[in-house]
Amino acid sequence: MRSLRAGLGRLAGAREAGLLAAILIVVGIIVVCGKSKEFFGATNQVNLWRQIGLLGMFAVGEAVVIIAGGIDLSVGSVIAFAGMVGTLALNRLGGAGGSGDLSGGALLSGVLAALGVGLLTGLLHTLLITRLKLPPFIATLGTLAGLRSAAELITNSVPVTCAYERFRVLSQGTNPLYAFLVVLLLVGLMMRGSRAGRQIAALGGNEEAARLSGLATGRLKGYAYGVCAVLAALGGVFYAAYSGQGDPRAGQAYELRAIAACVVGGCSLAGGEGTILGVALGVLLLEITLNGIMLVVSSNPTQWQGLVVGVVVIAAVALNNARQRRLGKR
Amino acid sequence: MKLARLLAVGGVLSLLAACAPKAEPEAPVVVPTGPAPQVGAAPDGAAPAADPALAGKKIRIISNANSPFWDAVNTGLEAGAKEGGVEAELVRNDGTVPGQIKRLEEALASKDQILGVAISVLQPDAQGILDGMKKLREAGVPVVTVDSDSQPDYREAFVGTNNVAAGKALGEKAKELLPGGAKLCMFVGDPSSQNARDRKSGFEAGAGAKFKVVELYKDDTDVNKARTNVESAMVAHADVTLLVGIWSYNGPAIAAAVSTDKAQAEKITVLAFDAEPNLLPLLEAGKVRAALVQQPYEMGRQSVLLLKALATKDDATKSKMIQDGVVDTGFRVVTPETYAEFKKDLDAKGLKSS
Repeated sequence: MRSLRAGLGRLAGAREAGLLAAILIVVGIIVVCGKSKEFFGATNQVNLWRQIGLLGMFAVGEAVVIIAGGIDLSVGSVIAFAGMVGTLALNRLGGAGGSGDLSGGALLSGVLAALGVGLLTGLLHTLLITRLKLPPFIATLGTLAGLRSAAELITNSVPVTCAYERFRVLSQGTNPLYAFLVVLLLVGLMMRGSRAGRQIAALGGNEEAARLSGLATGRLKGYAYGVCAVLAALGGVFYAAYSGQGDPRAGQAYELRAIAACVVGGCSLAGGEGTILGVALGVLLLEITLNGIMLVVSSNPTQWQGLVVGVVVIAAVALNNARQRRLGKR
Repeated sequence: MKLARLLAVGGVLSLLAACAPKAEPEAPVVVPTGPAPQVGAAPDGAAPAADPALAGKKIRIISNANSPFWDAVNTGLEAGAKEGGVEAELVRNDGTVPGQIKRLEEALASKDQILGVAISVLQPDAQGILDGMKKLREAGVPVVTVDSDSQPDYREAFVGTNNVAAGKALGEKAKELLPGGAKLCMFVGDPSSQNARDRKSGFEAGAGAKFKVVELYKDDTDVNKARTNVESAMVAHADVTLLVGIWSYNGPAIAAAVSTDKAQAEKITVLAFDAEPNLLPLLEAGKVRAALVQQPYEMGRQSVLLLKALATKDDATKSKMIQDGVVDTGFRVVTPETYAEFKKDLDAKGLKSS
C-alpha cells in the first residue's frame, strides 16, 4: 500500500502528469464549448490521431537531437526532399504516370530511397558538426536552405503526382499513428534501455564531462542526427502519401512544430533533459489544441492557431521551469 | 556498423537512381481560349529584328511564389521574348512580401539593364511593394502587374485573368450544379491577396444568395495544412455541401480529403481554380466537378510584349492591348464532360498542366 502511494506520488510529481492534466484541460474546454459531439466523432478522431502520428514520428527524432544537446533545423526540408525523391523513385518503378498498381517491391524501394536521403542527411550533419566543428544551428541551417532548393530543382518546382493506392494507404485512416507508435517504442527503448541512449543524454547534459569520461561523443552525435534525419524522411514519405504527391513546398517550418512539441514535452534546449514519452504527450497536447481551435472558434480558426499554440508553448515551458525550481529547493 | 554501411550504400544507390534525369522533360502548359493577339511578331510571323537600343536590357517578371503555375508563365515569357525580339527572365519569389520588396530593389539597382518589370503582387496594400513599384516607375522603368493586381495608381496595367469575372463564372457553374444553393467552405493560401479577394467576391456574385460561405480557411501555402483544413471543415461544418479551392493546390487537397469518406464524397461537390498536374485525373474522374482554368502562358507572353511596347513608347500596340487598364488573358471552365476536349488541347501542345 505504501509503495502504491509512493508510486502515485512520483507519477503526480512527474512532468508527464502535468502534460496529461493539460491535455485533459484542453479536452474539457472543447466539451464545455459544446463541441464534444464533433470532437469525439469517429471522423474527427481519425483525423486527429492521423495528425498526431504524422507530427509525432519526426518530433521524436528532433527530441533525440535536442536531448543530445543539439538542434536540427532541417527537418521540414528533409520532409520535402525525401518526399520528392521517394515519389520520383516510385513513379520510375511503378510507371503508369503515378497511378494504378504498384508492387510491394517497388513500394519498399521507393520508401528506402526516401529513407536513404534521410540517412545521408544525417551523415552530412554529423560530418559538418564533428569534423568541420560547425555549430549544429549553422550546419542544419545550411541543409534547411540547401535541401529545399534541391527539392525544387529536381523537377523545377513541379509536384510529383504519386497516387498509387498501395502507397497512399500508408496515410489513410490512422495508419500514421501505428507507424508513430512503432517509432515511439523503438526510440523509447533506445533512449531508456540502451547504453547509447543513456550516453546521448549524458552528452547533452555536459559534453565536456562526457568526453573526459571516455564517451565517443562524435559517434553519439552521429546516432542522434542520423535518427532525426531518417525519421524526418519517414515523415516525408507519410506526408507524400497523405497529399498524393511529392511536393517541394511540403514541410515548410515543420522543424518549428517539432521543436515546439519537444519543449512542450519537457525537453530543455540546453540538452540532457527530456523523455520520449514526454515528447509524445507534447505532440498530443499540440495537436488536440490545434484540432480544438478548428472546432471551437467559429470564425477564422486558422488565424487563431498560431497565437494559441504560442501561448501553450510559453505556458508549458514556464510551468516546467517553475517545477524544476521547486524540485531544486527540496 | 556493417549494417549502417550497407544502408548508407543502399541509400546512395537509391538516391542516384531516383534522381537520374528524366528521358522526357515535363513541359508546362497552356490552352488558349481564343486567338491570342500577335502584337510583337513581324508580318510574316518571324521574330522581329533585334532593336540595338534594347541590347543588353531585359524584361523581368517577378512571381509571388514558386509553383508549377509559374513554369507555364515562363514558357509564355520565352515565347513572348522570341516574338518581341527581346530578352526576358522570370525571377521566382519565396512567397513573402519582404522577398518581393527585395526583388524590386534589385531591379531598381540594375535599372540600366532592365527594360520593364511585371510583378504578381502578393498583397495589394503592402506599402513596401507599392514603394518599390513607384521608385521603379520614377526611374523610368515601366511596371505592370501580372496574375495578381495591386492598386491601379502604381502600375501601367494589369495582365491576367479578370479574377472577379472568373470567380463569377465558377459561381454560375455552382448554381448550375446545385440549383437549390448550398452552404460552402473556401480554401486558400492567403485570403488577403487580391486574386483571392476577387475570386471570392466574384464567386459569391455568380452563385447568388442561395449560397452561403460559412468559412474561409487559410493554409499559408502549406499543402499538408491545405488538406488538414478540409478535414477539419467537414467535421466543424457538417452541413456544408460545397467546397471551393481558390488557389491551384487547394482543389487536389479538397478532393483527396473528401474521397477518403464515401458518404462525404457523395454529398459534397468540389470546385477548383487552375489545373495543376494532379488535378487533371480528379477532374476526369468527376471528383472535381469543375475547374476554372486560367491562361498562365498568355500572362507571361503578353507581359513581355506589353512591357516592350511601353519601353519603346509603342502607343499603337499599347492601346491595342490595354482595355480599361487591363490586358485580359481569359479563362475557361472545364468539367468532366469537357475534359476530353481540354486534354486534347493540352496534348496537342505536349503539355501537362495549365
